[in-house]
Amino acid sequence: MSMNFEEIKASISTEAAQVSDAQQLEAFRIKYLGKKGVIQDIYASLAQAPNEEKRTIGKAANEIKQLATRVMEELKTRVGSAGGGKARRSIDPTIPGVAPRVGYKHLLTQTIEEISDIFEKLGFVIEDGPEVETEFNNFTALNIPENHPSRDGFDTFYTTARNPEDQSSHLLLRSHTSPGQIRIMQNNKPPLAVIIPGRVYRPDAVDASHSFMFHQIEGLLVDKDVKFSDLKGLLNAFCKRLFGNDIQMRFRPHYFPFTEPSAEVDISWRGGKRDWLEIMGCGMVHPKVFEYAGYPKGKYTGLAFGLGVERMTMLKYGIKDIRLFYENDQRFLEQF
Amino acid sequence: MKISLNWIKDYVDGKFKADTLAHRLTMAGLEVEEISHVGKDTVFELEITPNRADCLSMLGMAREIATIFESKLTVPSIPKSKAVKATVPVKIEDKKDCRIYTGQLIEGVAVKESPKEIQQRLQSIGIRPISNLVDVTNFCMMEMGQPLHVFDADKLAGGSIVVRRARKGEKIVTIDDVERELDEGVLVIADAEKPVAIAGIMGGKDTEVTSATRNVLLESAYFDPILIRRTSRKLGLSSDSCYRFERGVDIAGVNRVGQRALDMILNLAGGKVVARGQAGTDQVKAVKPVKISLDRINSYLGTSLNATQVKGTLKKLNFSIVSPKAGHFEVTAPSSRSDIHSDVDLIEEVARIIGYDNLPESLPNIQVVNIPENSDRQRRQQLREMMLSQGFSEAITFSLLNRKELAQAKVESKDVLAISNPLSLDQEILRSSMLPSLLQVVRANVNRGQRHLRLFELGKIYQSTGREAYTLGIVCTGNLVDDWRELKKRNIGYYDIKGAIVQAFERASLGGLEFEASQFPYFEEGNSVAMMQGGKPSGMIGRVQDGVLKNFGIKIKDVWFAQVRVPAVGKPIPVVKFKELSEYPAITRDISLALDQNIQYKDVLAAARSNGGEFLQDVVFCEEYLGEKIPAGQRGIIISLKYQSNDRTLTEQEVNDAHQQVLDQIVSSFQATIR
Repeated sequence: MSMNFEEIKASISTEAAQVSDAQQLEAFRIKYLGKKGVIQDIYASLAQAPNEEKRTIGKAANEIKQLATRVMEELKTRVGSAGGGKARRSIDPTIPGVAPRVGYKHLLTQTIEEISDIFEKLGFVIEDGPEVETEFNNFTALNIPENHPSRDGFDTFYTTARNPEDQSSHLLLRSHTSPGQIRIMQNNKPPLAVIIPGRVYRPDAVDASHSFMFHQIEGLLVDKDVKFSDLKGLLNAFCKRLFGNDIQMRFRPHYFPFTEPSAEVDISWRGGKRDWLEIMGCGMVHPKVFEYAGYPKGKYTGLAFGLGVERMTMLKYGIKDIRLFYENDQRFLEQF
Repeated sequence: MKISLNWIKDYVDGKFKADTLAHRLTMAGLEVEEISHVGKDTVFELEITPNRADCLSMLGMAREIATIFESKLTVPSIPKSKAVKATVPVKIEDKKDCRIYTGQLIEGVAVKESPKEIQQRLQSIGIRPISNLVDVTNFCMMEMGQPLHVFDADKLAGGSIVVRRARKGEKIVTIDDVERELDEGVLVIADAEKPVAIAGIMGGKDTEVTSATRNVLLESAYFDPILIRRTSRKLGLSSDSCYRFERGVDIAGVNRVGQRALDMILNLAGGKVVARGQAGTDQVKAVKPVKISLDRINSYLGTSLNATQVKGTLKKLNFSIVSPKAGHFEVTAPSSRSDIHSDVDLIEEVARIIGYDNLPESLPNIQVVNIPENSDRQRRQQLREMMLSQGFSEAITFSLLNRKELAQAKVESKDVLAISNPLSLDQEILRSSMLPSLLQVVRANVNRGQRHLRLFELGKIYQSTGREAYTLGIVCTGNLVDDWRELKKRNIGYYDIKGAIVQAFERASLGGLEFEASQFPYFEEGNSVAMMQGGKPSGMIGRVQDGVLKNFGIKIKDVWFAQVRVPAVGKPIPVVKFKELSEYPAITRDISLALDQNIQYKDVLAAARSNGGEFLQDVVFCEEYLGEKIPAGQRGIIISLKYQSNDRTLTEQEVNDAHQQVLDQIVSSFQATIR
């Protein structure tokens, strides 16, 4: 068997120059490096070759194989591989990286933390309160009279469990985070500055803007000389931190049984349309509430506020349907 | 409530631009929600807070507007009516239900359309004109806030009125043509025989004024607000009249507005008043004046108002003020202002009329607070952050469930807290397990093609006693890693979830968990594990049974669920004390064992730990192997032991001796074979 090794080398170079796509490259690979290819033939011929030639043939075969392999690699980077090729030598920097999987914090938790953090920096402590509450804490102690409409089954969920301290009444699901104020005051002496975030419940049919469970954040500041002007200043500072300096805030008189004076806070964006958006309720803690908490008469004044987390979040992120928060569609969770 | 600007102008002098008026009202606590134009009139839709029943009329609103704009208020004059000799027999069974009831019998009226001006006034605020008599009652109610009613007097059996509770089974057809069944909870106006009106809410069809009516009985009364509200809710029936009674009308207006209506009826429909009746009284106990000082107002609001400003503001609201000494006031509110009880109510009135926006702003001086940081909340925060960093996304689901869902999830339902007034079946109970809520999340996602889920919720579960406990719920399905280089994707499973929980609990200083095989009804056999903490059950991990998935309409398999109670520790998170880092090399020795399948790893680990001597630093589990090379009923495991000293390099001999101890112990206690 006579083979002109030099010719083979030359044809490798010539043919390589003509390879312009993956298909031709594959044909090239099969011809030279394939199982029945030229180089394999040379190795096969080794067996029958006379001993004295074996060395030469072997050396030449190795050289040709090296050449063909090198040319293949060059061609691969030039025209790309038709698959099945070995790993390329250089990184394709444009292939997506592999990110370690991380979880996404629920948007409502993000809002709660963002708001809590603002108050925490101002010196407030973040507290917690139970969701299953007594009528006393949810209503009576908040100066909500015995026959107030909000005590109706239409506005509050009642449970079948009796209040262990007052067997005549049933436990209920708190309809606001305000009973948290009562618990804090019953167990601590002023000065107090607390934020109480949490779930609250009201018998509402679920639609795009209503839900029977939602979240509120309650704030309470009690000391010897807390003033209505402090309430205005504090909430103005808070709104600017949360929504930026471009907003304007206004205080509008409102009514809550547990604060007097009471107000609702509206904000609007400067320069935009003058639409006022209601964002929270607030007021000066009603003296009756201090009385129920067991504080000495006339000793303290305080301010309190409450805001709806879902509403704030919808406003900030442009979400139009409250149900998205509780559906937990992965695509929703992973947007934020 | 709607108010008409033209109507208001009948009582208040001055020109008002609609926008300015709306703004000023809103800023005085009478929120204008909508402004619309009806003909040449401007109509405001207002949200009146429940404490301001006095504002549920044109005149009430006119008073507020006159105060805000400092203009003159003209109240319509009501002529004294002539005395009559005859009496309408009126009786109130329980004065708690009805403090006063008055009836005036007018004979010889002509029922026809009311004049255009009255029709327009009513139409502007959305009330349909009906006839001169009915229109007068509506007009007076809207003008002065006192609801009235006219009966066709000829249809009142016995010509008498009894205000009483309905008897069980009594029925009435109301003027909206609906027959309503009544009971003892409902207050009615009855004649000698039957109910002729549901008190304060709606009149009866039988005694309704028609074009044939000649003689009428005009009612003006005060009904108990709570009773009216309850009845209205129970019957699912509301009206303008009921809306006012349930918020509380001014009792002093009962006779006055009755007179106003009588006067208008006589003018518009003719006739003459021939008899009157009254039960109860409109006399109220004299209220004590509320005492307040200028200092108190200023320190409460952070203002520096003077006595003239305060007095001026309150006087404009029709409050009477006595000043026993400089800077001190004794204030009496008019009877219409039943919301004024204490000094803070007066402070609000002053603040409101001056305008909250005109009051100063300051930053509170927040003292170091007496409450310690809530360490359990901090632990939960850490737990959440750990779950997130381990690739689990946070879900928030409803704490209320349909009872049916517990059964579908095969969750035991004995110790469940129920809601006694659910609005729908989906609010029947408080969840005693997170499984149903999290399976709902899986269903929602899988139905939309998202099959690789790793979610957790940090929420509460509840017991029948009302106790609630923070709980970590986890639900997972699908691939563990999302890496294009990995050809074989591995599904998430027990060890991934256990690892995440243990690591998160450790980082959050929540103490150690133990794991033991235990069959839960909703998990697949052999894939069901109980978690224990401090020897007490604290949760479970397992593969959700296919049957349960099917019950929830989940079309995939291999869904894992875990739930673990987040303990309330109640103590600050301990500071981790630094441990010296050894400068000397560690020597590791692996052990490959074959041992009985029923021997748990924790026993092997304990044996290694207790026999490894002082230099055994760590035992690492490397591999579990089940295969041909292992005898039946056995399994192979490989563990790696690390020996190290803090003060010197260990000798080969020391390590060998210690390791041999471990090997000997494991072999002898578990009849294990070293491979």
